[in-house]
Amino acid sequence: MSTNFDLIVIGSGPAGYEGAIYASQLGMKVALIEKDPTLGGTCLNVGCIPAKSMLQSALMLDKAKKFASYGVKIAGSDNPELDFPQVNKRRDEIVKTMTNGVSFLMKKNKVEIIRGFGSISGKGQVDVTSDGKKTTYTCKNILVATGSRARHLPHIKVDGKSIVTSEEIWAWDKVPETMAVLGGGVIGCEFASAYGRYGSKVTIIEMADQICPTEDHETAAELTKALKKQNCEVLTSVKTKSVTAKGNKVEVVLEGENSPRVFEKVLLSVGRAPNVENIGLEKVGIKLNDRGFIDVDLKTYQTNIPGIYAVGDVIPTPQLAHTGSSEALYAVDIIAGKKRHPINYLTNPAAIYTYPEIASIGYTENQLKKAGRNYKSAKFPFTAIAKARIDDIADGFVKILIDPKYGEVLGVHIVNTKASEMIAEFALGNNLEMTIEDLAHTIHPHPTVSEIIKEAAHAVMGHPINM
Amino acid sequence: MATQNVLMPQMGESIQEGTLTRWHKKLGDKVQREEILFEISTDKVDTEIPSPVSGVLVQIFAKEGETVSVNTVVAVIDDAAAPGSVAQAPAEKPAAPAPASVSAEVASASSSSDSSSRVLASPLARKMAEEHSVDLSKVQGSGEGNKIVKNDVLAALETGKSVSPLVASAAAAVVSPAAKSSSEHMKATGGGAEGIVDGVRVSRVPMTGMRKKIADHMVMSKRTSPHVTSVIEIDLQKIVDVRAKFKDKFEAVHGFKLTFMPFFLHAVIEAIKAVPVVNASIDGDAILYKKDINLGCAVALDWGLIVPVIKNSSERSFVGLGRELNNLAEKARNKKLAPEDVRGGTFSISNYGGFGTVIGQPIINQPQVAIFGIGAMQKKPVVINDAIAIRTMCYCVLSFDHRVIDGSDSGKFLSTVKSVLENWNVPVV
Repeated sequence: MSTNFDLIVIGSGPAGYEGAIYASQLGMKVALIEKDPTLGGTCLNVGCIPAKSMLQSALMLDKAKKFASYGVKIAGSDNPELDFPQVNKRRDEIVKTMTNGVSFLMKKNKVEIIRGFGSISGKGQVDVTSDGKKTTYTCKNILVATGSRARHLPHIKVDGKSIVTSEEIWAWDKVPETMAVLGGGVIGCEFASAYGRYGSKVTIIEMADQICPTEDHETAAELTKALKKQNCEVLTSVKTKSVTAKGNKVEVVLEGENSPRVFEKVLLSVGRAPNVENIGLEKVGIKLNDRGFIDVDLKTYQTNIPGIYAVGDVIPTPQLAHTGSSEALYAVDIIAGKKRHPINYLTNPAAIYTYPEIASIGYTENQLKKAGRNYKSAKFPFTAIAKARIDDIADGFVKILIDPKYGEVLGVHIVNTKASEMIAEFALGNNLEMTIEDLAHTIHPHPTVSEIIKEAAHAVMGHPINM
Repeated sequence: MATQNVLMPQMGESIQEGTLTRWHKKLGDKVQREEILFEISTDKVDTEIPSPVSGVLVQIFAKEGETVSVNTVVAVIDDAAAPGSVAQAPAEKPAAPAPASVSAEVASASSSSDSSSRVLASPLARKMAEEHSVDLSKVQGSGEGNKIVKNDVLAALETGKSVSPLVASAAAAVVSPAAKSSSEHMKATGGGAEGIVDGVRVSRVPMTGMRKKIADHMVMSKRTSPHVTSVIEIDLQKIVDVRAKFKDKFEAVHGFKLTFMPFFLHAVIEAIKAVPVVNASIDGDAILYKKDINLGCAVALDWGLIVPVIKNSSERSFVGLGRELNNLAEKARNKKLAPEDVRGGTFSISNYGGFGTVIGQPIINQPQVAIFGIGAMQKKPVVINDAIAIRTMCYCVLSFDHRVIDGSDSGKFLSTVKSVLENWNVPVV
């Protein structure tokens, strides 16, 4: 194994491994350091991929219950049941396939994988510790992509059994009868939506005045309505005072309530903390911001130390896999001396995979109001779209916010099972600086679910056609 | 052959652009130095622009009705060319005094015959450019592959450098899509499109450049300053009597009519001296007290409104004030106002009373902080020493920016004006 590289990437999540592949494709000699046994980081192992697999099982259960309404009769399908071990088995298989896929891609692209815990020991120098043995590697550039971990709270002791975060929850071998989800953000809502439909009685406890606080208020309200139909109780503007495991139960005391609520399980999902500890940042003097994220120049993703770059969850940009990947490819281009136009985070889509899904891009209506911006808004419901009715996914709406002066699309909020797929059209459009007319005048296939985008565009221009 | 570029002049400090309303000469025409070459209209002035040199008009870059930024080359005059001759194609774009930077890629595209369609720009950037007549071929793109994006157009608008419907020579016309469509738009709607809006028959006529600028300026002022208006009633009988007594002699001696305005100008200057904060502007957290008193007097014209400025008003005699005001109003009506005639105002006066309006509430002319309004003069029964008398009365107002001027200042200002006018003791002839 060689010890001298053009680029060493620390962390093999989507940002790290995609950056490594791309750098190698550009002709660099690249090493990828990973401390865990499998590649892929949080996203592939304990994040996006297993979560979406688990949600897909919930969706299939929903569909199975409706087979008769579609005119499909299957012997014994009157009362479909969840096979939870099979849910987990399928999930694990998908995770295994995907993480193996990353290993294959590394080989294919001649990226050297170094197993162990990587830490920067100097400029152009990375130590990797494995089984107590330390090896030092040298390189021209370092890309820090160490990601994040589930955030803990000082007054809540996660025991990994009845009180878990999104990282330990995968060990559950049965669906709890009752569970509390502390934190109504993206992760909390996704687990609530899945377990609620699996049959668990879920209580979401959110401190802010709406669940998914970064999303548009109307989307959050629509999701709240949907979750309530999925065995979920939604409490907002509520703080948790204490969480105590007692035998097989967990007692949760909420502020303003004296007697504790009792749950079988508790999921703590209060955001994600950047992995900045023990990776040698202090040795070279890399600056962190006041929230503990690595400070980078968003035109290069370089830290305050030349030759050391950082991308993904460890920097203060949206903690999304696709955002991290884009940042990594960008940073590699900069390292390779290419010119790039800075990433416009207003064209960065976000998706929540609840039922129905939520996807968004740009500003929320409240952000525009707060900024005192002039805007026009329209909402078009999926109930008016034939294909959505055919597919039985007529929940939700597309909400478009535009600047009336030039028709610039300022924000889009979609609530629907296909939301995460449809938002990509806006990501492309906004990246190309389309106007609302461009969108309305784009021919969309009929009948499709995505034709709602054209309809919503017409609606915000003041002349909805099919409504 | 010596050629000289003719530029769109700067007409007023805040003016970024002007609309070329009429060419007095055609391509190939001979023109004398100081002879009127074209007319322009800005938000503040309509004026005729004389030719800077003698020669033959060999190139015209701005059409009638087009709005171009100041210092843009609008024509070329050749002092050695024979009348009737025009520049031979392909004429190169003249170098403007403030040239916009053009990327190599865009520049090479511009020289080809279909340059406009080859400019790489986002749809949003194109739309903004069209609305503001930004010539995209002069804008540097900062997007992927040097694509012109929204921020580039915003930057061009801010600097005003590329806001130009610059058209190359007749032989190789390189018209930006922006310039083309905006002029087509003007043609289509210029006559006033008929239609029905909310059940009412309407004729839709686009605002002129001047009207648009007035509209923007008024909205900006209302947004900027919290306006308060105070009113005072003034007995003008003494002024009426003085004027009646001296007006014939005044005209015979000075050669122009004695109107009521110089009386008001003098009274306002005295009031500004007494309350200097009305002759100021706001600069961040500071107040800029203006040492010169430059009175802007709104002059209504058939085609809009102009505010010429009487410079150093406080240093002029009564006759001097009257003469300068008379000169400026004359120039305004004849479209002869020069750029310096409308610059540097520190306080404004609006005389809406000339049309019979009794009380008005004028809007402050930014960045000034106050404006004085004069209502109609009316004979009225008033009580003087417990007896009823007939006097010529007038309501005068001060609209002021309450951020820096308080009611007490306004009261002091208006009572000074009243006192000067009611106790007039200045010789007028």
